[in-house]
Amino acid sequence: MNRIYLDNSATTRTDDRVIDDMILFMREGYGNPSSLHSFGREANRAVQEARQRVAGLIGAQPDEIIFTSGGTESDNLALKGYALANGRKGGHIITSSIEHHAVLEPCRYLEKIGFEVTFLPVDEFGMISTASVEEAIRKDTVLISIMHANNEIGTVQPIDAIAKLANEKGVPFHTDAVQTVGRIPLDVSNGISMLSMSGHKFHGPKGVGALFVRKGIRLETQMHGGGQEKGVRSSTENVPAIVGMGKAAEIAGEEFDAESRRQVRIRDMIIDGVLESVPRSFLNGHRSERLPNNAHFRFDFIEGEGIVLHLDMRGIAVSTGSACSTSSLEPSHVLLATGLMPHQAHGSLRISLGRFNTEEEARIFLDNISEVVSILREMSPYNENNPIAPGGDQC
Amino acid sequence: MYCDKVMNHFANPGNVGEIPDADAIEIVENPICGNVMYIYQGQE
Ligand SMILES: Cc1ncc(COP(=O)(O)O)c(C=O)c1O
Repeated sequence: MNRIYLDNSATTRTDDRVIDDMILFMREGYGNPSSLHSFGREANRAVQEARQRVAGLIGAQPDEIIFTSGGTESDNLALKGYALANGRKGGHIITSSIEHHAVLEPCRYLEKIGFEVTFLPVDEFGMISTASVEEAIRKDTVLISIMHANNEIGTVQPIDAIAKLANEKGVPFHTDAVQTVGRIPLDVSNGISMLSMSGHKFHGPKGVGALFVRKGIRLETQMHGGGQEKGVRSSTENVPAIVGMGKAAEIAGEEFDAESRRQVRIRDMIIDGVLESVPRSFLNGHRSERLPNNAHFRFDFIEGEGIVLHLDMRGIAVSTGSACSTSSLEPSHVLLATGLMPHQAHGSLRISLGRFNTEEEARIFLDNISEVVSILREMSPYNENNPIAPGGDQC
Repeated sequence: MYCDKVMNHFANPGNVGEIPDADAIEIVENPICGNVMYIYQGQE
């Protein structure tokens, strides 16, 4: 069976051009970048070249890029590293209620050790208003962290306006851009102080990421050791993965315009197709301020989990929302924050596109989704005449 | 989580449907975590 992968927000297929470069640095360029000999120098040169490529994708200087083990570590380093190095100035942090757990959990940890955190609400489309950020800023606010685009519903936040506001108020601004790097134009010269990225979300390898840290910003290291990455992030550089992320950044930069237009076309084909062909289906997230590769639906009377399993049996891979929450019964914190009821959150489905998806695959998905929804609705005790009465609030 | 037994019931659902003139209906319902069962009982 030819399988169709429509879960690119969870992770992407590594591009062959990336794999080719990586293999070279496992087989031949395996030196330690800190070594003085030619093996070391070659590896070091490759890491610096990757640094330039990643910096180039977001308009940063190469020495403003710290390589990490992924988006999670980048977020942890930005939040904890900044708060711990600058917490003396005050103890208030502003973030949103729809951040990835890689931001929410460090914030909760910082609360435990004495910081105060404001979790801003979102509207029904998952949008954070710049005005609400402004209202939340206090004299002792040390950091604002708002994600660029949400990994579940795909809503793109007004980070240019928020960065401008933060600059005016003299508060550093961090953004988790894990879902947008390589998909939406990004330029840190608009006043962003720190920005998190992850290699495997744009056809690079897993286990590598980066944090852009504007010159002059001080971070407390979260990984003490040999002093690599300007002493902020010790450990021998993961050269093949860093090279791979650099290559992925280069390819994303070159193919970006045409590729995002292509994905928007397929995305809209899916959105329009589902809303037209499936009764009682709704779009979650924002219609226009949306990732080029994200479609997120809600279907009355049935569960997203059942849809995912049925589509999987037909060789089509999609997600119920956020991959992190598939193993728990808790409804997604993002969907609840947009005002959905728990049972509506459970009826949701995420389709996320990547470089290797085609219009033909979108058509096959559309053919299957209406069938699967009908099968599940036939079995469901709920329907127009017997809608779900929202029950208790606990599992 | 998705063991063969569960997947088999999922792929080949048995005893599904409604008994219109059932003698008793038991409803087990918690849509918050997605657990909903309508159990119909009838006697021949
Ligand atoms: C918005 C966002 N932030 C952070 C992460 C974590 O990235 P990683 O898997 O590289 O640790 C993800 C990935 O799921 C994400 O979507």
